[in-house]
Amino acid sequence: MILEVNGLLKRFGEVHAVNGVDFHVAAGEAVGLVGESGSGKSTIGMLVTRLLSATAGTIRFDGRDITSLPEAEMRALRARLQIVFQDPWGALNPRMTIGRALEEPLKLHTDLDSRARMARVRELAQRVHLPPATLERYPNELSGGQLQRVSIARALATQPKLIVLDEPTSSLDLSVRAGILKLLDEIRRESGVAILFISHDLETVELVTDRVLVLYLGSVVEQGATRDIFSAPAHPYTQTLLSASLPPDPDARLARLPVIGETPSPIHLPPGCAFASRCPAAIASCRAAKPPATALGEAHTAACIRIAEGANVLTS
Amino acid sequence: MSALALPLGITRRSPTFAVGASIVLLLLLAAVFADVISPYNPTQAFPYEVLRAPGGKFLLGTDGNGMDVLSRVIHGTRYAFGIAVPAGLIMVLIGVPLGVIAGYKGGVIDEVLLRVLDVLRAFPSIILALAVVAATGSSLVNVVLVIGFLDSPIFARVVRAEVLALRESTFVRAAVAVGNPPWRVMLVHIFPNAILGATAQLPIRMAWAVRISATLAFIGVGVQAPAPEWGAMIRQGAEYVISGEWWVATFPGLALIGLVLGFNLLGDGLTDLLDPRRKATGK
Amino acid sequence: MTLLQVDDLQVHFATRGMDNRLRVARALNGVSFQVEEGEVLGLVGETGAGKSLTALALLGLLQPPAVVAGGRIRFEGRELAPLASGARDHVRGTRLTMIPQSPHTSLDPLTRIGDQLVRMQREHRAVSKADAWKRAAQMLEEVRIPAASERLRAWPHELSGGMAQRVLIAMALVNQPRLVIADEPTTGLDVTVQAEVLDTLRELVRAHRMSAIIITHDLGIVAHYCDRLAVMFAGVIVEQGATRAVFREQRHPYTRALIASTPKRIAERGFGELGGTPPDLYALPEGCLYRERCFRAADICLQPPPNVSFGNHTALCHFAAELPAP
Repeated sequence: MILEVNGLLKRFGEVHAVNGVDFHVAAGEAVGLVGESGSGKSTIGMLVTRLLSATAGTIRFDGRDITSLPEAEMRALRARLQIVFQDPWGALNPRMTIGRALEEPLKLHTDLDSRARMARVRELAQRVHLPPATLERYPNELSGGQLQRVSIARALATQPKLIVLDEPTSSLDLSVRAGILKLLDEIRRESGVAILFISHDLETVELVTDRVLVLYLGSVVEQGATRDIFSAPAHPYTQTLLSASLPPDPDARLARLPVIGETPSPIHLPPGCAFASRCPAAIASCRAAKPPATALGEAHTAACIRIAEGANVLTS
Repeated sequence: MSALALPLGITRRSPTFAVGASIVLLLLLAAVFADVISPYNPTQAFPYEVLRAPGGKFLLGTDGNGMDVLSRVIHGTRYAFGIAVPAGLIMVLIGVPLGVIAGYKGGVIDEVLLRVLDVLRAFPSIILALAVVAATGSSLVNVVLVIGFLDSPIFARVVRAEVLALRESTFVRAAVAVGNPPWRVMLVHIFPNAILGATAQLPIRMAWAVRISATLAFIGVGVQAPAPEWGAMIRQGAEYVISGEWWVATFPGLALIGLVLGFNLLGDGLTDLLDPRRKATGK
Repeated sequence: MTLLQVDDLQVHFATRGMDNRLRVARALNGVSFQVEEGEVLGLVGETGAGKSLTALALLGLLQPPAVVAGGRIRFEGRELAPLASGARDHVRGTRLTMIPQSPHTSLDPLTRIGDQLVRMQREHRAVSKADAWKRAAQMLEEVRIPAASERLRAWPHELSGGMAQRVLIAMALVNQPRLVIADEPTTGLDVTVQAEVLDTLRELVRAHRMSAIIITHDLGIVAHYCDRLAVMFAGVIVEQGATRAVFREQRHPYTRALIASTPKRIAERGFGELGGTPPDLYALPEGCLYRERCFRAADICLQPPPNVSFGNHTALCHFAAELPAP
């Protein structure tokens, strides 16, 4: 188990950004965190990489409890736990060349001398299919796609066991996205690194991940194998979410479930199920207490008391 | 073509900068070549030419000691720059690290800085400067030190503001995520990006330094006659304005206004040029 | 009847860099398309293709250093460019309107939305405040904002993203235009809200027998909300036709690459041809603007490509006829 998260909670003042989340990532696995705005998915990415500190809960990385690990000790672990951000332009120091940016993790975590480091930097550039000339350039001279490749190369420099990718293709043009996804695919095959893929783009998540967690207002409403979640979503929110996506195929039949209202404010969350206020299948007891996860089959769970009762909720 | 192209391009982008830079450059050249271009020795007294009106042998007239006003105004640039530049250096050397650490780490250093700034804001700095120089002696060195130290918290504040913004930026987060210890984040990532914004402040702070030193001399503290310092010259010249010898105070006054204006325009123009909307070349 | 006819529209940006040299970005390089009455056209492209710029040109909202360097725009049979600015303003407010991106930056934060809707009407038509207010309430109902009459008194910051977007739609439609341009109407909206907003837009367009141009980079939106689509690249339309026809059979390599890069196609067929870098508008290639990225490029591509027609389906490519159906 590379990553184990239990009861993760993050409060920003009155706002419960992450409201008790459990999940794990096994070695070599690709796990997706899916959700809309306010779901807490990006916050989880920050928490897991200790760029934010959790209000409560535990995070275990490679068997070690890193929840409150002193930053000095955490730094050494960062070699194995990396993150790629959504904004390719903002993720690199504008005053550092690409070569130096890629060299930095090697300087920090290895004993390699300057020559060995530069050799490794050239290897990294090659691995992400960037021409060697790129190493002399500054970030403002590169396109979004190229910059994202640099960020990925930087994440790979110290041979991490887990890479968190926070919406890595959302800021990129369509024709460039596929290239990045292909690169990720190659990297996973070659190195067996585990990834935590955070995104609101359902189609991409379906393509890239082995398992998925569906988040709503800081809670996990459903999780399971990607195949299962996308072919037979159980939770009313997952069903609503999937039915609202627009596949790029004019002949695809859309069977959209009605959406009631919009995501409420994460301040003063009601005690029960986070989705109750918008769920067409909600009953009184949904608002009473947060529903526990019901097992639905192999490693597939959904947090819904109607499902627990055996009701076939919202067949679409 | 290319030698002229860059200045033309800059002028087009920021006429303010062009004007400010021209004024400062002109006066700087005057300081460097003062001995060459001054018609007379600035401290040479012509006892029979006391308070001559401008014109003839003495283009800007003479003062109460019979010294040539023009030569004194020209040499005054040496005092102006001689104070502004070292004071600027001090405020950068103190203000930048202070601003970076206060902005990034916060804590005690930040609190102290903010309180010092509160005091400075409440207390007219001219009075503080006056008090310190009066207590420690009116030497040039003292004036430079006092001005430099007094201004560094203000400079630090500008740097701190840049740092606070940078702290939240993605690449700084990334720098932490990659495993940089705080000192390295500050040195390699925060500092190079923070100084760009703070650079525009430097000329403005230097304008202030020129003004303050002239004010100190005017009050009678700091550099004194017969040194050709503009503030001291204005002090002497003020006595003669009522009796009609306006030129003794006016010309050093104009020079003072000119340099201060030049520095201010330079600083403003620099802000235009460094506008983040323009792609930074980073080289 | 052809409501909007755009022929060979060209727009340039002329700027001087720090080195004082004149640089010209050729942003629109001969854009030609038309919109019929009652039709929804999707204008698709990536960053820098020129979609938003086309909208601004149609609305007469281009500012220096952008300048129209050629081409014609005919709307309702009338040429738009020669119109005096007052007449152009009138057209923009009443006949040809736009729904801009980012509702929260497009709405006036200091004015209640009811007042903004009233202002939109009274600027262009002689109508009393009372009537305008009534119509404003009516519009909010049409865009399905609940409790419309109370909402009129709301401030923009009190609205959620989806609601603010609906208000923008209401503002664009309140003067009953013939053609509305929606510029990335769902950017920043959640998936679940997006579909609802688009449904509302489509309903209204149909109900009022208007035409619409939806500018987007999302192929899913085009697939389900547009009757026809036009694909833009480097300031030209490289392919246009009925939505179904284009999705079934792409006649331009760029369109093919775009469709092949959707996750669905990748899942079916693996990673195929991949995109390149965006075109440098300051240094566009000779001949076909796409040839530097094109898998099919050959010597003939140094010549400007012809606009080949297959009925209502056209493609700007030397090889349009032979591109096999995917």
